[in-house]
Amino acid sequence: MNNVYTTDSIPGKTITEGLGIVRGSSVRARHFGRDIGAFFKKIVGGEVEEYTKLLAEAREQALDRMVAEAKAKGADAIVGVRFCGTEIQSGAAEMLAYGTAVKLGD
Amino acid sequence: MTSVHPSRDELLSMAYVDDQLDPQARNEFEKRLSHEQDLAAEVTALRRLEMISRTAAPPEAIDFAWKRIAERPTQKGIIGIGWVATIVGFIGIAAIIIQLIAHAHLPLWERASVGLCIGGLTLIFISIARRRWRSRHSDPYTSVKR
Repeated sequence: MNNVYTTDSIPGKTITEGLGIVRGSSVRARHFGRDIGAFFKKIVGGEVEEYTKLLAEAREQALDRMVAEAKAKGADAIVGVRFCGTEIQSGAAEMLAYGTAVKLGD
Repeated sequence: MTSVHPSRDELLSMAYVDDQLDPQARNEFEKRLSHEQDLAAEVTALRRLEMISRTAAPPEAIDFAWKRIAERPTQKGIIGIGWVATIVGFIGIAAIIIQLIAHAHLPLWERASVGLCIGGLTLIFISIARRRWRSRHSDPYTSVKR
């Protein structure tokens, strides 16, 4: 599904039905070796790619799960999509993606 | 991965990943996925490809700089020696701890309790590591870079 929007409406499309909230979440971690590398990068500064990648993996998985839920509901699009993240444990990233599944008119 | 002339299963996998199967065909395909390892691997490979195309980011100057540095023999040598020293040291420390417990002036049941606890945790770790190792090919998200 490519119709995933952060806006509440879709230009040129009419929302005919709201199917409710859809969400996807993911908690991911890198292996301990990567954490050691990240620890030393925190000391010297700069981008910690290990955690950039970790966050990106969690984000994409959460997004896919949200889209899968919308598809299961028979939605044509998801509007008002938001992401939020937190840290459940050190070195692990939790991403939550949520939005409203909708049906579109012609 | 797919060849020039995709097989029926490869075409089905593509349709499944692109969400083009009708509900009945999708259910049947998902039943097959649960017990056909090759089919599951094909779907994972297609999802990985989709993931790469979706998250493809323009390369940044720092990427080339990091790659250049990482490929230098001195950098490889330093990292390699560092990891070998750390792993050997870790095994040594584990051996010292086991020796200390074995020779500690503790009643047998206390030594047995500590041994069982360490042994149990080691088995749990092995089980989780084994599961991750065996399922790593089914995780398309590892290809996401940033």
